[in-house]
Amino acid sequence: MAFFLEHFSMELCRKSAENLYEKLIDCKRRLLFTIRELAPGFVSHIVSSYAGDGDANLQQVATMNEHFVGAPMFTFCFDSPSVMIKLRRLCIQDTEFLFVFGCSPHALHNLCMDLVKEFPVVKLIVKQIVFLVKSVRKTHLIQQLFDKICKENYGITLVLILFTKTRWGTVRNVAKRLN
Amino acid sequence: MCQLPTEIMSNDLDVDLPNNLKDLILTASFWKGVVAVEVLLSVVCSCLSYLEGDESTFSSVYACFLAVAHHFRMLPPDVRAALDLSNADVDKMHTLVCHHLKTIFSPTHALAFRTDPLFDDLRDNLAKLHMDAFFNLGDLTILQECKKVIKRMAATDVLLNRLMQSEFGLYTIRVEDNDDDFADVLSMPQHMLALADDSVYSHLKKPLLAIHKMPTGASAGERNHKSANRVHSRNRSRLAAGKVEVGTAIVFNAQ
Repeated sequence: MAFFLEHFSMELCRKSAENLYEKLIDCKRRLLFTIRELAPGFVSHIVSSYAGDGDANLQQVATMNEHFVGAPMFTFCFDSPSVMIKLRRLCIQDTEFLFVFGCSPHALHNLCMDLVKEFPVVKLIVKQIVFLVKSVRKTHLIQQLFDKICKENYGITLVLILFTKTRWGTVRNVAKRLN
Repeated sequence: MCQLPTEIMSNDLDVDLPNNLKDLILTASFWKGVVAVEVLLSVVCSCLSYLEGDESTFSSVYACFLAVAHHFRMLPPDVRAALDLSNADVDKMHTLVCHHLKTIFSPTHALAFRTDPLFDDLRDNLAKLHMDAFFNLGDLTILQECKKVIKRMAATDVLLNRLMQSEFGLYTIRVEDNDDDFADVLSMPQHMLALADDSVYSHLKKPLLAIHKMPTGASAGERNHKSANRVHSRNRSRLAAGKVEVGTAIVFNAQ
């Protein structure tokens, strides 16, 4: 079972790691209340807020995994912004989650972009590809000629594409299309 | 693309192909570079496409990073020449792979990779090609990471930790034959684990099942979020009843 935290933060409070952490813990507890039974001597926070002062002293509000019968293992998966990395540290510190890990496609995309940035020849070639694609696309006659050549050689017309930094793996698609 | 300048000449078109564009199109080294960039990024992007899919297994995360590191080490000489990559550059690429894995790494990745029989052959083959240190993309060795996970799962229960460690040991030294619980490597690891012998893996089975069921990333959530964003858009949620009525009337009249 997986939850996407964004759905629980549609309000005006700032998306700081602390605020998101509070939301996350709240979601986790609500989920625990729905899927597991409370251990003897514990009540949910909803019951406790309605109970009088005398009743609240008798039973403790369930907050931790141990306060539920057979609580499952909780892990947290995050993407790459710095706020999520800070959130990851908070989750590990407070032992609310057993394991935390990042989003692997995000990491591979960042690796892809680093390869383009870090190696001068790769960077130059990508720059030249972008220049070539833009030059062909902006002149109508050249574009028409390119379509004609494609039709003669491959039987179809192809569109030269540019890459987007936020779309995973598009750098390779640009080079592949040009081949 | 190389035919473009000749086509312009032969068609006698009134198009001035800029000199730098013409030079670029006619430069052989540029086209070799384009092919090399495609080869360099091919494995990274293939792994990316696989990992963002719903069918990807948690164990494949570590395997994909290993495959990318192996790909960089084994780049063909013509690709290395076209991109002017020295041995130091290849080492830098390996460091980049380790760095990016560290940004998302949890020891559970190592445990999932070690307990998925699909990757037994991959480990053997890579061990033959590279040094043992090649496998350790994290701070510790794979086995040390596995032991760390088991210890964390057992928490303060010393006996449970010992039992799970010994069951993990039994898994690593198991004989791979047709009667093995993990013989059918094409099945998902969680399916094989669910059918594994309870008497042998009684303590490790349940937590391992949970680990193998974990998602590889947040891509499924992001996909959901994108479609939900279209339905519960900011404009729609701020729409007052009066404006909805006005909007409906306009749409009705337009039809």
